Amino acid sequence: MFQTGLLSAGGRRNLVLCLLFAAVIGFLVRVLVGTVLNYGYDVHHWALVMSNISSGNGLYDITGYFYTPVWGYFLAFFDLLQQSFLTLGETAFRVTDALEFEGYEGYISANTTSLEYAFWVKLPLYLVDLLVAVLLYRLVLGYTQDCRKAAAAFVLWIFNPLVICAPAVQGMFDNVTVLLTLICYMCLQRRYYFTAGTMLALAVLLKLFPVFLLPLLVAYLMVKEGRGLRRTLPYLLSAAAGFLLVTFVVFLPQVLDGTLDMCFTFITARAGSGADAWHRFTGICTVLIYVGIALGSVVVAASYYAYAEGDLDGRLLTAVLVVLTLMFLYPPTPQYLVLLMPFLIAYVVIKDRSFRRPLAVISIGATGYILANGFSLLLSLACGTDLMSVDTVISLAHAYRPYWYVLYYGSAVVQYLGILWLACSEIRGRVMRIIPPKEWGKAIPGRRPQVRTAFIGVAIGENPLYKSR
Amino acid sequence: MRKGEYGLIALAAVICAVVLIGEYVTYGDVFDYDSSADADGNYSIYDSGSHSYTAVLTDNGSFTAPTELYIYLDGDYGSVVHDVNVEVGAKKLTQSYYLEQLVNNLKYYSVPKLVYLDARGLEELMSQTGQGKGVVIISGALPDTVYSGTSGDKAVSWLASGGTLYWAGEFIGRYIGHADGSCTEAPSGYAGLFLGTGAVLNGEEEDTRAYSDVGGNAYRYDLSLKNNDVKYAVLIGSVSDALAVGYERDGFASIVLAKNGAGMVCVFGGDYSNNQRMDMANVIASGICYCSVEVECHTGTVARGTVRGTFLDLSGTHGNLCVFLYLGGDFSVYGKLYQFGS
Repeated sequence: MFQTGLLSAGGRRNLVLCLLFAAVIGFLVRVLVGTVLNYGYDVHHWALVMSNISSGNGLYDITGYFYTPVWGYFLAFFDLLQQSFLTLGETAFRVTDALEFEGYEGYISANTTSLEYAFWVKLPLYLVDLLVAVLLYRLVLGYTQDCRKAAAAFVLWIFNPLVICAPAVQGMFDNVTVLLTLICYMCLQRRYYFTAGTMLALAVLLKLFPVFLLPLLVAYLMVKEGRGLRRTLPYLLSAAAGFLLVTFVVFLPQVLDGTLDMCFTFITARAGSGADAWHRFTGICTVLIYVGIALGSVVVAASYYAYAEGDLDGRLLTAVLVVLTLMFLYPPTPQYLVLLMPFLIAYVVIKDRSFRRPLAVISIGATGYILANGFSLLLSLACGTDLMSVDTVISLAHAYRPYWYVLYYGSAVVQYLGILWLACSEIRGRVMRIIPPKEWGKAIPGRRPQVRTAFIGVAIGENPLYKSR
Repeated sequence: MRKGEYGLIALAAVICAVVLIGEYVTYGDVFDYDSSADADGNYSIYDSGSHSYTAVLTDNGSFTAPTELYIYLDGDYGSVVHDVNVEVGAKKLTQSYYLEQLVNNLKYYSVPKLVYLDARGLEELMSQTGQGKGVVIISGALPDTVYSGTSGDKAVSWLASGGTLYWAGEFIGRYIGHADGSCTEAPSGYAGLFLGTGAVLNGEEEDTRAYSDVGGNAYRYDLSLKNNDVKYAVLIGSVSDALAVGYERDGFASIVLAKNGAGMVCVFGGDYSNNQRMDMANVIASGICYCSVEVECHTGTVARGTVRGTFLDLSGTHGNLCVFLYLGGDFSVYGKLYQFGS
């Protein structure tokens, strides 16, 4: 599992023991945090989705599931395991004493889940975190051949507060997207294009955001295989076959039962079907912004295709970071940022330690954002144990209510400042530089004459014209 | 392929397998449920998986819950439906989408007969006796084929003859829908036609959320009722021969079942919501009525097998008994009603 490079036998053993220790502690921290703090609004939805599946209504016949189907299939798998091996009893319930929460700002609900259910539905996410840590270790080792750096990446992931809280508190599955994206990334590096295509399809159909990486990954494949459509077509087709096969299999049930449109309500509902004109307007703006981000990701991919040479993998890591930063310039909810974490951590460890500062700021801001619902997160614990009463939780939540804004907006600002810091760090010539218009159209020395900056406008990485300052 | 890289491909294969199995579980109808009950108070519930179960024994007096359920939906006729906020990413909660989901809920509750009706069909239904029949109307306006705001209307006499009306959205009886898509307002006193003279309905204040349970019965928990909005709801004290269940605020209850002649009117408070829809399914499926008295309720967990039980307290009952068995609690997956005449 852990390749340890050139270390001695004793050093290898110590390193493996240290990483196992970190993994165990990281796992226990997640169990503890996930037990004490539970965001009922999201987690009770997973219980609803499972019950809809169990009642024979699939994912979309009864409302409750708003994403493309992949996470629903994961939940169905968990449901099967729970039904087959566990006896959880009542999974979700509505707490009358906590109904006042629903008058509070934010998505706070009086619905919550039992501690047992919350544990079992989050447990696979904790295991995914461990898998991602191992992959990140191997990714960094592949780049650096330095097991200490790889171990640093492992630890930075395992103990990142955002990475801990998104699945443990919210029960959010963004780390599964990370796992799939990382597998895709590593498969591409190793020329397993069909598998890479399948993993990217699953990642995109799980939470859409990795779709913005698609142009860049296609560019990487083409550059890696020698550029030009004729040379790269077989490899592109292999990757496309994996992508399309998974897409077909995932959507087949909805195509057959006529609920395909329901798979995209998470997008379409934001694009204009809200209850009032303001929601419709902001929904359309959101979609337009994402179209802009998609165009930006195409520009980055084109830049990569035009300039990348030599250390293709190193430049890919840089370009991925640029695309993800671009994507998150539109303020995200905190759990989305989990997708940024492994690539930012890898960049910090492999390329530029100074990026640890925006990493820390983003992590702290996003974690605060997740915890902004304050004492209401203790409701499951109060309902399921004698450690505290529901009345105590309600009193604490009530007392905290006037300060909700401070943590919610404060941490959102910190989170976004971290993203801006990251973007600025990239723009300041370390990673990316906007090419001034006066230089557009100039041929690049030593490159094929048809590659001109006019086509691109952005240069990524340490290319011959725009070296880091 | 290098030796160390088998793991990556194996991991990808495992993930694909999990997704495929999950897909099969989602659409393969892999879970089985069954139940039985008899007049001696014995019941059993089977679950191929594992869920919480609830067995509710109710004395319904002389009332028999409807065995045929009709659902009114006519896109051409006028209706008064308010846009409501739904969860982020959820489909807009329209009248037809609400009813579509309600039907899906009622199907797993084993409701034997579910029929959609348009305004003409509703007129036909209400031209007959209402005994044993129930109709769900959430259009906010009754069509002019059955209602004009007077006591002689078909809708009113159908109720008196034994029909049951399940109503949600808007003030009951306030609006009349017409074939051209318009609506007019009924004369004052419309609520009294359905709920009895003196009936008071809650207004449309900004915050109509209730924060406490209705006292006097435990149906809020035993039927897993969730909707705490009391907009348009009935003031409990303003109607006689009625049962209030669910949540309460300032005397208005989220669900009120009131006697109307030989029939019944059931008003669900609040704007459209998924909680309201689930409550409606639970109330319809449970067969409770304005005179229901909960005799006994058993709860527990059934796991990969059958749970059997016996209601012990049958001696004091004196009317139609109904046993409602369901699995899953707040998020139910199966249910069935058994009725036994006195």
